[in-house]
Amino acid sequence: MSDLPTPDPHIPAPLQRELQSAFASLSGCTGVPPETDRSILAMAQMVGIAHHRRRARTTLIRLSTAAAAALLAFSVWLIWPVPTATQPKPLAITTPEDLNRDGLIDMLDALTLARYVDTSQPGPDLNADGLLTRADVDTLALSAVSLERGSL
Amino acid sequence: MNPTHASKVFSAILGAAILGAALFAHGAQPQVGDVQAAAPARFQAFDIFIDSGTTPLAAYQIEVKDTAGHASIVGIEGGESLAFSQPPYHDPRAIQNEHVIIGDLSTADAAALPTGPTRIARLHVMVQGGEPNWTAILMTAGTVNAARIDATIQVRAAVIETEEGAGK
Repeated sequence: MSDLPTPDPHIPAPLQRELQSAFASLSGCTGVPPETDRSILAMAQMVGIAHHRRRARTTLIRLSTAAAAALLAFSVWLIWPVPTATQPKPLAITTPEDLNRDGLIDMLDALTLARYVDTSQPGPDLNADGLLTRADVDTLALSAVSLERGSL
Repeated sequence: MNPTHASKVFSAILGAAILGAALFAHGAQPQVGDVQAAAPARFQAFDIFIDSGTTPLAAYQIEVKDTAGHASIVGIEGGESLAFSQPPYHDPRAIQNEHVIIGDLSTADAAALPTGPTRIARLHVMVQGGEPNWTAILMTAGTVNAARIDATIQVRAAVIETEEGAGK
């Protein structure tokens, strides 16, 4: 950079002359001193570098947050229990219908009850009519095939 | 953005939303011409088979669903074996639905129970809009002493024999 300020090519020459004359009449010199020009330029560069560093830091923080969120979502997806639809849902408690005590009410319980009926063994009176008949088997079987017991 | 400009933008968005909702509601209403555009319905039957190997099958419970949502169950028929010839137990809500759980049992002697691949039920369905995609799960299968047994299941399109013996 030279000692004298370089004329700006975008400012029309008449305007430049008028500005120089006006500035000279106020301060008694012909332009901005070169050392002032250099110090302003140095300050501007420092401000620019600091701004660039701030932007880079903000971008890094955003990328790290996004990566952490993606990693968290992937981890949740990995450990989330997938329902395996192969068996009826086990009961939390044993009920009178669960004759084979396997935690499920299904056709195996109905078959067990049907054998009780056929062989006149005592069993649960599921329809509460005071008798153990094939109607109790029907009640149990219809309960077993209720759509609520499905897993699809 | 000044308050006047913001209120204009808000009014424009609100107006567009109301217009869009009105157009959507109009499109969702069945129109007279839509009846002819709907896909034609057809009736089909699907057989459900169980293969219990060499073990006599005394009870089963199967969940079946058309995951494509094109089938609507209109009837459930029993199987080919005498032990399971009656329609199986099912939830009445499965009719007019694409999802059913069927199950049945037999207290007959082991000699009268089926072994190997056997058709245990036939689903009659109304199909509309595409091919059904059946998913079936064997919930349980048991033998004469009500012991759980291993078995495999299969759902197949039925081949219905007419009285003259010709398949259709």
